[in-house]
This record gives sequence, C-alpha cells and structure tokens, in this order.
Amino acid sequence: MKRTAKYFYPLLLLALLGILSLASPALASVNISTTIDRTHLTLEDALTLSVKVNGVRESAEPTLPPLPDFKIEFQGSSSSVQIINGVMNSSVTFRYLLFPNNEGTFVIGGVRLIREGKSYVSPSLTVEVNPPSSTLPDGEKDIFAEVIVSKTTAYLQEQITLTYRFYRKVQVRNLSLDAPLEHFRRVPLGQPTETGKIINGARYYVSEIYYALFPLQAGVLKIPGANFQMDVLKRGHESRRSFGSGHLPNGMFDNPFFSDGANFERKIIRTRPIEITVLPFPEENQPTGFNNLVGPVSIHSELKQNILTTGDTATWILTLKGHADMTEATVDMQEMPGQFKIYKDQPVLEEKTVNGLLEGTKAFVFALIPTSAGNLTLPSVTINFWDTEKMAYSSASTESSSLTVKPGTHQPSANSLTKSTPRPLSQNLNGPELLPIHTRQDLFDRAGSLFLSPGFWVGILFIPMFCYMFFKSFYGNRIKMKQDKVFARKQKAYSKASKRLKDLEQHQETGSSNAREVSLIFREYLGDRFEFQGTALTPEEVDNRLRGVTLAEEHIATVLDLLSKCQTVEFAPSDLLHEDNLVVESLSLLSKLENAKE
Amino acid sequence: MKALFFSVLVLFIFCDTAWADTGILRELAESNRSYEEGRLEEAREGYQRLLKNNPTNGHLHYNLGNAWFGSGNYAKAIQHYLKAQKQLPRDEDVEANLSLALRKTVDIWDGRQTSPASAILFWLHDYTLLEHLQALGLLNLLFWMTHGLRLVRSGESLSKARQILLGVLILGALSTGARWQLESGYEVAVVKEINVDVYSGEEKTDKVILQLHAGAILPVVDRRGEWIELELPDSKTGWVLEQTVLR
Repeated sequence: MKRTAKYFYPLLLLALLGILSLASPALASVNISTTIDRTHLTLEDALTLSVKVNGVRESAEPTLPPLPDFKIEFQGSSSSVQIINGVMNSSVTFRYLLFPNNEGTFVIGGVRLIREGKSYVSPSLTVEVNPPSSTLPDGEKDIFAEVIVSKTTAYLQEQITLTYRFYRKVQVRNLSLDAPLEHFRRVPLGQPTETGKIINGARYYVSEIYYALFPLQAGVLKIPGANFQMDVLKRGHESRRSFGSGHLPNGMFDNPFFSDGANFERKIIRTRPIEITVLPFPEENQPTGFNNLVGPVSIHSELKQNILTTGDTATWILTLKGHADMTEATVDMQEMPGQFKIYKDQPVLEEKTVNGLLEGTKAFVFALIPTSAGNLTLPSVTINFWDTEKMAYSSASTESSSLTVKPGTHQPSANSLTKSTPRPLSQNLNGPELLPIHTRQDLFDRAGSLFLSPGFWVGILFIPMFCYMFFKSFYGNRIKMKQDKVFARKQKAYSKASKRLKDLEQHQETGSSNAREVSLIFREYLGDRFEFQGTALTPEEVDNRLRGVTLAEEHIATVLDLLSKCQTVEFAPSDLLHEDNLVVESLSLLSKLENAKE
Repeated sequence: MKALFFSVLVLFIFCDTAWADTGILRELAESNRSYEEGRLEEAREGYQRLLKNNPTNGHLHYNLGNAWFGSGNYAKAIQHYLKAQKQLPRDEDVEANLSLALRKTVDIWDGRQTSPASAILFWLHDYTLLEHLQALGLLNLLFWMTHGLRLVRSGESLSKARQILLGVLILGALSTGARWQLESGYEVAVVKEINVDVYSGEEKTDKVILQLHAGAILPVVDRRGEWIELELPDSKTGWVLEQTVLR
C-alpha cells in the first residue's frame, strides 16, 4: 500500500504532463473577440468592454480603435486555461470601462492585436447612448450633482467661489471628482463637507467641495462640466434584508467588509458647464503702477526697531491683506539715497479660508541699513487696486514712520560696495541673538590625536592593500601546494632537510652511517628542490643534473664537494676524517642554496 | 609576541583617546567662565593659548569668534568663525553666528564661492577632509575585503558588490581629492582694517578702485610680496596690502 502511495503523485504528474502535451496543439489557433455588458446605456452609465484573446496563455495588450466619444479606463487583465475532452483552451481577457461623453449610436471598431507578425482583428460592436435620467424630479433620483458659482460676471483676478454638490440616497463607494479647468487659478477652500438635505420628501446625503477661482484672462470663460465617478449599489440589493439587520444597529452592514456579494454598478454623473464673463479692468483713470490687484485690499507697515546706529539693520515689514489673488502682487519701494540702503527679502504669501472666502496675506520684508545719522522718515507706501465694491480704482497707503539713527563707528563711502551687490539675507531680520559658546568637554579633549591627522588616514589607506597582497601570496601558495605536488615538495624541501639534519646532529651518530644519512638527506633535498629523483644518484650524476638548472657554479662545486666528503667518510676508515663537520657544513650549505637564485 | 602586539595597540589607543590632560580642561573651563562673566579679554587669551596646542579644533575657534564678537571686533570674529566652519561644516551655531557677524559689518559681503565640483559631489562642503578620508578608508577596507573574499569563493553577487564598491571608492577618492584641493588651494581673506583701499595694481600710486570695510570676506587670487590680490564683488580683482587683511 505504501509503495502504491509512493508512486501515485509522480505518476499523476506524468499523466497531467502527458495530457497537457497532447492538448498543446490546440494552442496554435489564435483569435480575438470583444464583448460588451450592455448595448443600451445612458450618459450616466459605464460600459464594460471585454477583449478576449483565445489560444494564448499570455498576450500583449491589444490596440483599441479610436473612441473619441468615450472616456476609457483600463480595468486589468486575466487569463484562464480550460481542458475539455483533452483539448486545452487558454485565453487572456482585457477589460476596459467606457464612459460615454455624448448621446447617440456609436460603433466600437475592431480591436487589433499583432502577434508573431500576424494581425488579428475582432468584429465591430454597436452601442446606443441615451440622455441621462435627469427628467426625473430631484427627489426620485438616486444620485445627482450640481455646480454653483457665486457670480457669472467678474473682473479679472476677482474671487469667484465654485461649489460642487453631490447628492445621494443610495450607498456609493469609490467616489471621485474629475473637474478640469483652464484659464483660472483654482484654490481649494477648506475640506469637503458632508451634510444631509430633504428634497421632495427624500433624504439625501450631500457632499460639498468648494474652490476659489481667480480668472486669468478677460472674455467669456467656460468652466467645463465636472465628472463624479462612483460605484453605486444597484436597486433591489439594498432593499434585501441583511442578516441580522433587525437586531443590530443601522449602518453596521454598510461596512464594505459585510458588503461582499453586493452588486455595485459603476456610474458617472456630470455637472453642467458654466460660462463666466470676465471683464477687463477699465483703462479710464487707471493709476500708474496698477498691477491687476482686485480689492478691497489693506496695507500695513511695521518697523521692528525705531532706534539704531548707522550700519545696524532695521526690519521693515509691509503686509497686504485682502480677498484678491496676491500671487503677483508687488510693492515698489522708492530709493532713499543718503538715508538708507534697502535690501528686499523674498515675500511670504499665506492664504486661508475666512467666512467661505479665500483671504490672502502677503508680507514684504525689507532690511534697512541707515547710512546717515539723525531722525529719518520712512515714506508712506501706496498700493492701487480695483475696488469691486465701489466699482472704481482705489488705493491704500501706510502712514510714514520715523527712525532715530545714532552715529556709528564708520560710514560707508561712495567707493564702497554698492547696493546692487547680492547680500546674504537668509538670516532672520528680527535681530537674532548670538548663539552661546560650546562648553562640552568631549569636544575639546582630542588635542593632538593621531586619529585627527589627515596624514595618518592617508597611511591607513594603504594597509588593506598590503594585507590583501600578503593574503593573496599566502593563500595562493597554499592552494598551489595542494594542487601541485612538485611545487609542494620544492616549498617543503628546505624545512624537511634542515629538520632531519638537526635531528641527526642531536643524535650525535658518528662514522659511515652518519655520512650516508647526511648524503641521503642532502640528495633528497636537491631532488625536491630541483625537481629530480636525487636519492639514487651518484655525485657525478648530481653534477650533471645541477648543471641542467641555473645554479651558480660555486654552489654546484660546494654541493659536489660535500657529497664527495660524505662518500669518502662513508667508505673510508673512521680515523681519516673528522666527520662531525658534515652536518654543520650541510646546514650551512642548505641555507646558501635556499637563498641562491635558480 | 601576540600579547606584546596587543599591549602596544591598547596602550596606543589609550594614549590617543586620553590625550587631553586636566590642565587643558581647567584652562578651557576658566576661559569659558571668563566669557560668561564678560571678561572677554581673558577669555580670548585663554582660547588663544588653547589653540596653540590644538590649532584645528573648530569649537575653540568658534568660542574665540564669540569672544571677538562680544568685543565688537567683527573682522576677527568672522576670521575665527570661518576657521571653525572649516572644521565643523555642519554646525548650525557657527553658521548662525558667522551670518550674524557679517550683518554687523558695513559691506555685509561674503565672497566665498562653492566649488564647481559640488554640483555633482553635493556633499563636498558638508564634510571635512578628515571625514572624507575616514569614509574613504572604510570604503577602501570594504573593497579590499571583497577583493580578498574573491580569492576564497567566487560568485556573481560578490563580483557585483566588488564593482559597486569600486565605483563608490572612485567617487569617494574624487570627492576627497576635491575637498583636499578646496582646503589647500582655496583661500579667503577677511578685511581687518575699518577702511581698506583696494588698488588696481601692486603700487600705492595705482588707482583706488574700491573701498572695503572690516569684516568683508573675499577670495584670495594671488600674492606678490606684501600685496594680496582679491576677487572683488564685481568679479574683477584688486590689490590690498597684506597687513590689512586676516587669513
């Protein structure tokens, strides 16, 4: 039984693969088809267009035909594989949401797909778009929207409030507003609000969105219709009694978590377009220096210091306030040669909603540096604007201010830096205090530290490189010794021979056996070092082999001399030579050979 | 042998970190107290003595700048704030007080220019040469470590890491070089005298083209004998006597 189970899954997999391989020829047949979820719709509805590419497991997105009467939203793609009677069908489906822009009958042309050099085109489809159900009275519509403007005739730059209202008495989700606009500056007026309203006995929830508009050009300007898009719960679904709705608080099942399975429908609601007549400013009596400011506007002057010495800085702030568009508003400052140098900082614009209107405040900050001592007077500053209340040009002025300047230590001369040179004005002009000294001891306790010397760190830069070179040499040798036996013998030759000779020296053996051992060790060393089999060679043969390698003549001679001595001692009577020197001589010669260049 | 090596290393690090002796800290505390109590001359002398032992400490230059500021000598204050800023480029206190001192001057002129390299190496002015070198040292260590690791094991990711590190290391080296150049090749002068005549040439008989005032900061272009050529606000150059400026 266990054995059967062991082979069951691999066999099943093989069978599946077999079926798939048999079915695979069916993939070769590629075609494209399009379907729509409805053929009749209103301007408030959305149409789902599904493009199905059969016979493929994956596909590039097909090309839709030109659809100028629809707004297209890609919804995504999905793929499916089916095996029916051994025939595999796979397909990829692309879904689009089409929002009609106009009424009428429209032909959705063939959708084209180019795949592997072949072109596939789907058949055309026809849809009919009818007017929206606006004929119903407001109290009977499930959803509707409206747009309201505060005025339809305004002057250039005059503030107009625009309100979008969206009414609903059914559940909606994913509500969004698309309100294109040109030729106006648009500023949101606070956050959207949510209220309730009874219309013809029906209770509606109302979402309101407010904007302040400032016309940027004269003429008849159009505010295009805005589109509210949302998913609306279909009628019938909400009338169905939800589970527990009789026992649990209302609204609990409005939660999307519980609304799985509810049937939502994509809808689009359009507001009507509005035309605004924008009047230019009258040329008659237009003051010089008028820069398209619409009032009423007030101007306020504030001088931060009244008493200072020459060379010190006084801050002068001029503030414009009103319901106008202040973005382009400027204040012209007159030169005051011989009295002040004037430096202008960046103006600061603040906009906030007050009583349903946008109120702008623009502050112009000037740094004044008196160049002469005495009682100086700041002139009155006048701003001209078009007053929409009086329907005439008007002006606002500041009062003149006086300033007492005490003589300083030095006076700028005519040859000094001129006022046209740029100045650092990033500093707060209100006269900041000198920041205190640093007192933390740890900031001062590294005097003379080596770690604070750039030279030390430059030196440090080379250390990793040397470490790497050392490591490379060491590691490379180790690897080579593992892989190359001859090299390993060569590398170990000296240490091996040296150790054996030292052992021999400690045992203090004498006579012929000692000489034979020395000769053997030495010839083994030569064999390992110069890559030949040295143990079985006579001195003459060693001579021949050593001449084959690039070893100095004197070293060869010394080697041969030692080997001859060993041979003599080995075979001669012990009292003829003092053989103790052989080990010492061998060790000395080993060192010489090790240091000698091949 | 190992024990000896580690003993020397520990001793070296200990000696280095514990360099400051209590005498220096006592003098620092006294100078700070003098400053707080308004004895600015004593504070200045104290900070100047401390700077003799530790001339690259930006905090000492900052404190000395404050002491000069309090005494009304804005030119010297600016000179020391500039030296402090070289060592503490991200210190907002230094920036604020330098700006404040500049506003106290007649010309309110800060002629320092940013390095063209900072258009790409945007951090160039925010980090000292030492910080550049320390970062470069770390990058260098990482690079050679990955290089060494490649001997032991090979792999695509290791190779990529090495290439990235090499790129960053080159960038770091360029930045360090640019900072080195900035610190060694770029010099500014602060006008010391109340009124300084700027001449068109290196002679007092040459035409006076501009009058500068104490505290103006100008880049040094050249130096010949006792004359220094400065870059003026109109991008032209002029000559002043060396003793009239602080560097």
